[in-house]
Order: sequence, then C-alpha cells, then structure tokens
Amino acid sequence: MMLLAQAAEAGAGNTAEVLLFWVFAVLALGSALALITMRNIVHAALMLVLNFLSIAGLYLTLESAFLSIIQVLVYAGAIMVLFLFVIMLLGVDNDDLLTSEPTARVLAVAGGALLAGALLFAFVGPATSPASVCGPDAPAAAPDQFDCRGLAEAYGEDDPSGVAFVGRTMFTRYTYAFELSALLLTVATIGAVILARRQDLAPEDEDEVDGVPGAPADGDDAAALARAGLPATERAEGGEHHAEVGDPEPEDHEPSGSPDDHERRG
Amino acid sequence: MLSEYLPVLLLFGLAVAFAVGSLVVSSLVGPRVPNPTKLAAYESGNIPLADVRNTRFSVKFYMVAMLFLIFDIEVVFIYPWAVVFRELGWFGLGQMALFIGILGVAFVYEIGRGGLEWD
Amino acid sequence: MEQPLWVPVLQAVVVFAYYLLITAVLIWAERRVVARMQSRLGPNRVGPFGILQTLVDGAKMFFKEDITPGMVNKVIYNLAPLVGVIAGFLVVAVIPIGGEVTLFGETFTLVVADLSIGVLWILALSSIHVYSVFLAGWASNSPYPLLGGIRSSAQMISYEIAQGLAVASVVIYAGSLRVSDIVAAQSGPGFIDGVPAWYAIPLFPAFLVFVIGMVAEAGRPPFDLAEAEGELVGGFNTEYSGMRFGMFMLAEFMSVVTMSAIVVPLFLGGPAGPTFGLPDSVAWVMPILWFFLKMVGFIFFFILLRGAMPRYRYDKLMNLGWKVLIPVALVWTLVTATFVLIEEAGGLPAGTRLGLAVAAAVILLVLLFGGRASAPDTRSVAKAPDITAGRTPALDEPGSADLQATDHQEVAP
Repeated sequence: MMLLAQAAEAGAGNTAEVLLFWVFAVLALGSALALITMRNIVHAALMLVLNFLSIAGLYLTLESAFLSIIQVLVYAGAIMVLFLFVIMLLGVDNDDLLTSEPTARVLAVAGGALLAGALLFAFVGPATSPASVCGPDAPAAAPDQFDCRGLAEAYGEDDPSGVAFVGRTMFTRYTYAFELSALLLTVATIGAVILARRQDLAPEDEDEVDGVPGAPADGDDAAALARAGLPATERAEGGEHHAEVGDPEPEDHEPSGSPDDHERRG
Repeated sequence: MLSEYLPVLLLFGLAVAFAVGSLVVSSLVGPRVPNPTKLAAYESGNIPLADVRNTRFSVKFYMVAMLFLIFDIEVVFIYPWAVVFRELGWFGLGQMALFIGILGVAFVYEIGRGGLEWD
Repeated sequence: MEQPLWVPVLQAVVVFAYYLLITAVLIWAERRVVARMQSRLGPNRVGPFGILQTLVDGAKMFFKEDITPGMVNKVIYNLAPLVGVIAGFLVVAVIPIGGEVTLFGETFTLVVADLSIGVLWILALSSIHVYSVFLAGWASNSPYPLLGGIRSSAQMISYEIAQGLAVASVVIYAGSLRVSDIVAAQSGPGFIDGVPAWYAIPLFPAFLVFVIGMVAEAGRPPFDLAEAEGELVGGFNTEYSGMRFGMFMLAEFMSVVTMSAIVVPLFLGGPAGPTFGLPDSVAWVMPILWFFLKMVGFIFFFILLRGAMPRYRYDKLMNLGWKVLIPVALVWTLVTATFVLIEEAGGLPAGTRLGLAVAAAVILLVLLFGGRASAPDTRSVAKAPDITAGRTPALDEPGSADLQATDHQEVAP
C-alpha cells in the first residue's frame, strides 16, 4: 500500500491519480473492515462487493483498465453472486453461520497472523526494491526512488487497456498455467456436482443445518456443502475472525446467547 | 488515460442524482399513511404466514451459479485471446480449443449428472 | 485530450437525456403497439396519440405513497432500485449514438467515452445489474420477492454467459474491444456487393444468440419469469411501491432501450450508413438517424415479442440458455476463429467455402434442433401445474392511467 502510494506520487505528479488512489484505498480498507465486523451476512457480502469495486478502481489508476474490468466482471459479477447464492442456499439468518468452534478460531487467528506477516514482509521486507517492483529490465535508480515505466508504457500505444499484452503473455509464456486453470475449474465443477447430488439424495429437512446433530449422514452433507461453497469467504476474511465487534442492527434478530459466543463463519 | 473516464464519472453523477432525486422528491410530496396491513408482507391478501428468514433454496441455484462462475472465467479468458489470436495463429487456436474442451468435460459431466434438471 | 470541460459534460448530458427520453417514448409506444395487436386503442388521451401518457404516469408516481413494509431490510431495500437504474444508465456509456459532431470549433463523437475495454464494460455493468434484482428480492423479506429475485438473477447470469460468448466472436473478427474499432471494422464492403459488412451476416449464429440473450437479460416477454403474475405476483419487486417501484419499471424498460442500443454497434455497423451525398454541414445528422432507426427496429422487435409470445416455463428457459445457446456460442467462437485463420492464410476457393458454409449450417441446425428431438421433454406431460399461460390481455389496461396496476394487482387492501 505504501509502495503504491509512493509510486502514485512519484508518477508524473498527476494529482487526479493520487486523489483517486486515496479515495479507492480508503474505500477498500474501510469496506474490508466493515466486512469483518458486520453481523448481517448479506451486508458483509455487499461490503466485499464494494471492496472488489475499489480494488478495480485502484487497478484503473495504475493504468490497467483490462485488469480493472475483469475484477468487476469476475469478482464482483460472478464470485460474489455465487457467494450470495450459497448464502441463500444455507438460509440467511441461520445462527449456525454465526458460530464457530474454538479450534477454528485458533486456526483462523494463526492463519491470519501468518498471512499478515507474509504481506508485511513482502511490502517492507528486504525483497522489496525498485527491481522487484519494476522488473529486472528497469533501469537502476537511486534506492529511494522508483524510476520505472508505467504499465501504459509497457503495453504500448495501440493497446491502452493491456488486453493484448495479457493475451500475448498468457498464450505464449503461461500456456501450461492457462491449461491447468481449465483443469482446476473442471475439478471444481465436478466436486460441486458430487456434493450437490449427495445433498439431493438426502430427504429434504429444513432443520438439518441448524446445528442439531440429527441423522449424521444428512447433517454432514449439508455441512460439507457449506464448506465447499464458502472457503473463499473465510480466506477473504483472513484471520480477523477474532476482530468481531458487535454491530447489532435493529432488523437483525439477535442470537440467543451473548454476542461473544457467536461469530460469523463465512 | 484516466481522463477518458471523466465523462463516465459525469454520467454516473447524473444517474445518481436522477435516481436519488426522484426518490427524495417522491418521499417529500407523497402521502404517508401507514397501517399494519399495508406494512405486512404481501401474500396475495392472506395473512402473512411464511417466515422467509430461514428459507433455504434449492441446490440447483447453487449449481447454476457455479457453472456461471466457470463460464464467466472462460469468457474472460477468451477475450484477450480473441484480441490477439491473429498473431498467435493456429497454436493459439489449439490452446483455446483444448481449454474449451477441458471445460466442456466439466459441462457435459454436470449436464449428464442432471445438474441442470429443473424438476 | 485538450478538450474544454464542456465537451464531456455535454456528452454525458446528451446521452443521459437521449436514453431517458427514448425510454419514456418506448413505454407509451409499447402500450400503443400491444393495444393495436389486441384490437384495443391504448393510451390516447394525453397529448397527440397519448404520447404524453408516460410523463403523466411518471408525475403521478411522485404523489403515490411509497410504502416501506415493516419486515424489509431498510438499507438494502432502498439501495436495490438505485443500483438497477444507475447500472442501466452507465451501460450505454460506450455506445456511440451518432458520428462526429463539430460544435463551437470542437469536434467530438457522440458517445460518453470510447473506452479501450469497450465491450467488457457492457458485460461488467450487466453483471452489476444482477445485484439490483437479487438484493430487491432478498431485502423484501417476503416469499414472492425472494423467489422472484433468486429466480431472475439465476436467469440473468445464465444468459449473460451466452451473450459474452456471442460477443467474443465479434471481438475475434474485429481484433479489438473498443466499440469504435468494432464499428470501423464493419465499414468496408461486405461479402456480397451491395450488402453492408455488418457482423450480423457472417456471424449470424452469434447474432441470434445475442438477440435471444438480450431479451432474457432484459427480463422481457417471453422470458419475463421474474414477474410471472400467475405464480410470483410481481416477482422481486412485489413489496415495492411508489417511486421505488417506478425505478424498477424504469430500469426494466430502459434495459430494452440499452440492449437495443448495444446490439447495433456490435452487429449492425453502429451509426454508419449512407449519407446520400449531403453537404458536410448536415451530413452529421445521418449517423444519428441511422443509429436511431436501427435501435428502434430492435425496440419494435421487443414490443412485438411481448405482444405475440406466451411466457416460457422456467426449466425450459434455463435449458434453452445452458443446453442450446451456450454450446452454440462456444462452438461458433471456435468456428469463427478457424475461418479467420484460414482467411489469413490465403483463403479457400469459392466452392470449398460454400461447402463449408453449408456444412456449418447443417451442424448448427443439428445442434439447435437435434438435441431437442433426441431428448423429448417428458416432464412437460408429467408436471401438473403448467405455467406457460401467457400474459392475459385483460390485465393490460385499456388506456388507463394506472400503469402500476398492471403489475401490482391488489397491493392496496
């Protein structure tokens, strides 16, 4: 973030760009904070949408229009719709979604701390230098300034959005990664189908997700489905589960226990 | 580069002003006479019975959303390829055909397992 | 980019007013045309031929009570109609409504912004539109809206894919995402002399997929499953009233206009057309006129569909999208690419080309109709409640001023 800010300020002193950077950066951080503190799961999901949109704005200020619109199309347009459908599938105000096991909490905190540490290291650690930011081709510059080309320059005159650049790179240098992504998506689909079919075989039971340990097979299936649909949310929330600040909204019906006993899972 | 988005921002401002303005004006000049029946959920004139808070939806919708995500990513991959595929030539076409073929397996599998049967 | 500030302002204002005005006229025109198809008169009281009816209806809506039911989630309930209208206005930002215009010494194109990501902007904004429907349904906290919302958002995302794939073959031909490049690529001579080089001709299957997709995307008959009166009352907007309902109505009708506007530059050559040797001082009007005529053609098609077609059943709608349109569009993308590469390599002799075209047509026909023949829909017999019943004409007002009544039958007790 710091690096981006410095890069934005160094870049030709474009005040509009710097202003936009701060607007989007504050929006992104604010929505991320709101996402992990809100108790209403659909509100939290919408905050994630806002977060994705502000990240798209950041890409735009960094002269990568193609990446920016893809961010909107795939993340805000497709992945969040999938999340919302999964939320609907599980029932919105299900208390089960707001509780988590102690082990899960510990794991979440540990994972979050690890991720935060890695990110911090990446941004301010010794690996960060002008060369790491600008690539090996960048001309050597004084240590405290970034003298490298912007993305628009790298893309060239006739490709301002970078779409041709991405296409050329993806279909020459990253062929295998590209084809592997197809495999990954295929496996994901097959997994989803298998989970959904198992769910289908179980008799329709409205209460099976409500945490009541009913018939083991059914309950497990529902829980498995929940896990299959939701891991990305959990990852997006990082280890900040513990940072739950009660944000009781009037229309929320409050879970029976004290707020501390309940926590959002995803 | 960013300046070409300025008119878009203006259009956005106009749209927001229009939409919010209409709602505000309407709330100022419109009557407001609430009564319990009016404020209840609409169930074709019956007394509202259904509790939708814990309603759970058919897993079909989840399957549709999953397929949508997969195909959306496919579309997103097709676009950069479509822009440069003249340069890439037959090699690029082969790659894309393979990509679509692999995803086609997923698609056929889901269809074959009845993932999109609405019954 | 040394344009004075008034140029972008003018572009934005002109485009905004253009679509708002056309939407208003469309609402009136649709009622007139559908009335004519049903041997009625339609609105004919306010202004000549009743053309001011929409204006009066809109004004009336301001003075209607805007009920916020007790069980709704207020924030999202208020947000949802705004998202729909705003996304509806923004989607047309990349569509040129005319050619170059010179005003006060400044030459500019009649488009809000000719973005480098062009067609992706359109797709992204239509995917944002889904939120409006979904959130309205969810926030209402009421059975019918919830069902309608999730149902129509599933419908919208399904047809979005088909549309995206159809546009991909346009991009293959044009080699650019920018709308002005796509329009320019269609300006040369066509396959046959005297026929314009519109992509609708060489890419006819993609064009067909896109047009079907846009009807479904706009949630219009015969794909208006969202507001199936017989089963879902009004769909996702059942709990809305007053101006907030008006916003949804505006968004729906505006998506008819915007979809018709989008298809023109992608498949029908955009605002290009003959200027009949007019002097430069008036020739700039012709692109505006051509664009308008092409767009109105599609709007008229939308209206005719509404008047003529019964509503689709939901499972058939999803099957059409997933099992017909998407495979066709995918295969067609690859076929298009193959053809373009063959052309690049020097082309084929005319006889082979014709043979291949025939073969492609046969394959497409098999794909379109073969699948249906091999898998007869037995469920349509087995299932008891068949809801294919169309829009009953009686529900469509004979010239009444109460537009809302058509969709909100018995809201007020």
